Amino acid sequence: MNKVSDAIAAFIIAILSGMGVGSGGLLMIWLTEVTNYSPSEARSINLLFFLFSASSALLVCIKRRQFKFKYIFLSAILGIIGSVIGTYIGMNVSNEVLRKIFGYMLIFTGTYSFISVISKKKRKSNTRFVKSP
Amino acid sequence: MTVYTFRKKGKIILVLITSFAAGICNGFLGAGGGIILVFSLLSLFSDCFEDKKDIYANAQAIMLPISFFSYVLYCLNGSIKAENPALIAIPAILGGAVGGLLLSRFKSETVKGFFTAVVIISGIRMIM
Repeated sequence: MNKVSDAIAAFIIAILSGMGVGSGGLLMIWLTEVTNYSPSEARSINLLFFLFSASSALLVCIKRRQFKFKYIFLSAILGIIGSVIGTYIGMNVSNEVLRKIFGYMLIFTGTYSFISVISKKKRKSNTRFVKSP
Repeated sequence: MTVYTFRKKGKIILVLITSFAAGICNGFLGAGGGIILVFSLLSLFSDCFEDKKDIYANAQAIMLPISFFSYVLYCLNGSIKAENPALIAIPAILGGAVGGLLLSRFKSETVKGFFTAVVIISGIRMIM
């Protein structure tokens, strides 16, 4: 896979993740399933990718969205402590185990997103039914 | 009033615990922390936000420093092969900005349905 197709894939996935689509794993899927990166390499590329895409998405919508900065700060501190533990575990796990755990995580997050999409559509159709005479 | 304050404090503690769990998940897998946070914020604080999209934005704001620390730790450990960061950075910045703009203007349910199917199929492929 060449670098141009990687850049195009990263651009499309960044648009989707900026819109809240993809369960956070689309780039990991592209890197491990299409371009054959190892899961540990894909993990670090995905982290770097998220830093840039989330920063620009937040900069674009910072004025339009309602942010609870106090809770963001507290949550981020606890999340950072958690990330230190997670990173330490991640450094000591083989690629094969990492791939399997990532697979389970994708199934879980994908199923959750799928259910939320379906329930949202159902709610919308119910509202339409109530409104109609 | 006291019951309300107690409930609110309980909810905040739960969100802090899930932030910790999201940090572990993100540090370990490099992804997945965001959806844990979105899930907990949607379940506990959906009444505090006017728009559901604010929850996504808040979750992203929480995940940004967490991902930064994870990335720095992997860098310090020497686990990162820095081939060409610009190859990821430029499309990520441009795409993220476009996605951030589209978030307010576009209903993403259909697109989301398609890509979650892709995510589930890829997950099954990975565990087999």
